[in-house]
Amino acid sequence: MTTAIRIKNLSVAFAGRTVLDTLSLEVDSGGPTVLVGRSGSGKTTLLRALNRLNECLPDCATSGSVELRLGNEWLDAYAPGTSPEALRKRVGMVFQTPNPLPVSVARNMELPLELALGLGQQERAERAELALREAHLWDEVKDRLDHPARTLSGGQQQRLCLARALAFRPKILLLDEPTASLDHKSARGVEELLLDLAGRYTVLLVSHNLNQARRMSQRQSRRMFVLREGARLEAVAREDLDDKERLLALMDELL
Amino acid sequence: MADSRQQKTRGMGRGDLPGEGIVTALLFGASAVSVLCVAGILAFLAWFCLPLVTEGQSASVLSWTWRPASGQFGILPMAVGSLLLGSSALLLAWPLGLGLTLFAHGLGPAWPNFNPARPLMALVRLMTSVPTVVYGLASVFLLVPLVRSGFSGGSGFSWLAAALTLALLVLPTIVLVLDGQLRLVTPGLRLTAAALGLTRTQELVHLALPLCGRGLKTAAVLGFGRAVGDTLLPLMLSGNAAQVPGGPLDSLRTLTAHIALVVATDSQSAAYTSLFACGALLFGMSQAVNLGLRGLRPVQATLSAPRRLSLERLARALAWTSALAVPAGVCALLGYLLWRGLPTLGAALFFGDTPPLDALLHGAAVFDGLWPACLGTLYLVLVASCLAIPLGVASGIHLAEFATGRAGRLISSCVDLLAGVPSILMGLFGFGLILLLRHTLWPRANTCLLLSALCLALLVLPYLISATRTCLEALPRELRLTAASLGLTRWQTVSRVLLPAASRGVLGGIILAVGRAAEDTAVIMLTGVVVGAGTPGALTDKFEALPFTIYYLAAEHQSPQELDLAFGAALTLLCLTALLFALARSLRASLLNGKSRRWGNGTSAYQRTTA
Repeated sequence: MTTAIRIKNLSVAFAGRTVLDTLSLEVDSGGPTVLVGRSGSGKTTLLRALNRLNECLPDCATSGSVELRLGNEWLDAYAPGTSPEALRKRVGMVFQTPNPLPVSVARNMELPLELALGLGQQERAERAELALREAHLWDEVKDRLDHPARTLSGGQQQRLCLARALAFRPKILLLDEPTASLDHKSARGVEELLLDLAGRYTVLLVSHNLNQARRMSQRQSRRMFVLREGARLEAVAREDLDDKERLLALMDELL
Repeated sequence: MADSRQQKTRGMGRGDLPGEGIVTALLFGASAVSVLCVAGILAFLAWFCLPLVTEGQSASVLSWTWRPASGQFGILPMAVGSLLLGSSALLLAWPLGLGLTLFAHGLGPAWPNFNPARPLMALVRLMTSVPTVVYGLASVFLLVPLVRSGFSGGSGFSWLAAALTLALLVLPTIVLVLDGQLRLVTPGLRLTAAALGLTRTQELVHLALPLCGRGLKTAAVLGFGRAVGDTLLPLMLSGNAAQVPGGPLDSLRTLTAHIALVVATDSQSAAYTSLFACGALLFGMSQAVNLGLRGLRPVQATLSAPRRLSLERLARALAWTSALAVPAGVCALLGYLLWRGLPTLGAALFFGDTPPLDALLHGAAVFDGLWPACLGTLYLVLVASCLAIPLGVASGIHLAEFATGRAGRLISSCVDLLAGVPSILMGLFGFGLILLLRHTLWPRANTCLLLSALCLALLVLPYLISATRTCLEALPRELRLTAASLGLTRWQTVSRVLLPAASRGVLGGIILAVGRAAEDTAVIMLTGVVVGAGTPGALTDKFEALPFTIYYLAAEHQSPQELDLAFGAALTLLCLTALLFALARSLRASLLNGKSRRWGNGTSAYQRTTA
């Protein structure tokens, strides 16, 4: 098992209020690695620190270091020479609520590839189809690619956003409670998809749904971390993950 | 909108208390004033244009020669002049406004300790408060000589000079519309676009702007309406020759300036007929703009295939150009005004040779000072406010909370119509009223302070109505439901819960309307302002006013001292309007902050973004 993400002494503050305080974490490649914690404990902020998305919010101050293994090289996310755009092209993210751009399904897939990667027409179409197939969405949308993305159901929209991230062929996928806004059935569909993807990408998943967290850590390469108030991070022991009762007790105490 | 209307109909019962019916009727009456006023303006225009058809004057009026002495009253050159000047000003202002907005929204530099967008937007807001006549005065003595010496030949009073200044005048309208639209669109896009690795420029150019298609058009339409409806700048700067200009250095005359000039020269009746024909044309143009606005459907995201880097580079170039050019132009004009105006400030500016205390306490006559003009403006604004504020606020309440169905739609479209009426037309309406009275009930009727105040009140009425209405409609729906669930009647809900909650916003709207009434020149020019009237003693007297004094002295000053007086007056007026605008803005700002504290759901913006 190799390390894919190395976080050292990461602190993030918004408008002077500290959200993450000197936090360190190593995430293995593959996964999924699940991050749980109460709402407000800073899970989203931690995730957004990895692709420097916190900087898009007002009054954010970040210190510490984040290194990401992209292919065979290490990239220091906060090094002066690292452009946030270049970083974000290689680290995909799926948000809590589906966030399709207000355009058609096809343009949602192709516009970012065109603007951020500068790909030609032919390659964009190929990548889009491949990613939509990977997200198990192709069969559902292949006849309505020119429909507005907002006309898809919530689960379909979320899989579209996942496909949009996959089309960039990222090394790392950051998933911020990707099933929180979906109904039970759609959520299970997305979960299965994520387990499937974890073989090929490094997946870091934030969740505050305990059942989901448990299901997602059924895999061999599972890891789970708890983000406590005060920004302390605890690894959940492997035996705790195996024992359903102990896991549920932990979850009760936590949430 | 649809929601609030539904809620209005099924929200609460009608007339739960005996007084309720009377209040509702009064509110309805206030709203009916707008409808009557629009009907009145239309009737006047129709009545006075009637001779065109019945007496066959249309061939004379719809011709290309204006020579009233020899009975030729052609107004077509003026119509062409209005269109040319309006569209050229728009062609200058629209790209500059777009550039400025883009600069402020992220195409400018992002220095860690200093965000240039802030002072830039502050400047734009300051520009909204600059009275037209102040721009006019500064341009007559700064820009016109530049044009004259830069392009040798001609007087400098030209299409070019008027278009440049007019562009500055309409620019804030364009920037504020675009800024508002971008603010609606960008928050949802920012994180998504960033997470996909797009730069700020790409996000703005390829995603946000195409989504603002409607805002881009609205800005153009509103800007054009403002440019075509303006009177003072063409009157002061364009030379006013009744001809179709051959080039930008030629003189031209707009419909608005034509109306002002002809009323001032007081010619015979045939000229008046052509005057109202001008008015009808102008009304037609402004209402075409109004209709154009309504025709703009919200465009649903037809993002075209982006055209690569060239578009981004163009946007950045445009942003930097406007961020440098616009502040340079405004600072030059206002700086010139300060340079000329500051040394004149002092007791002598206001009171001339009369001791100030005598003038203030004993009403001693002031001859070489601005005091009578200040008093005139004060009385004018007071009377206009007394007429307009109760009507406007009541009508706003009626439209926001009570009006439903067809009547509601009729009233609100009449308010829109009224908002689009250029101020010179409102003056012409008042002037026509006097003509009518002279022919019928009251042969000695003449223009006076009361008439000016009445027309000004009608001019600012739509501002008051929409400010009140917007503030009320912006209040959260839960507030109405809560009040209803506690057993309050509709009027109790409005008067005890909603109005107090919206009071600061309404007050802000009132102050803006007062500022607008204080700076307008076109209306009072046609309805009773004169030079040297002294302090008005009665509502039926002629009067002096600050904006008109500036206009008059700029054109007719006999000595350098009189010109100094004009600059002093301009500076005084500018300070007054800027102060009023700043006050209105701070009230609005405190309303917004207060709202999240008092009526919010407990989560601040910060918590929402980081949760």
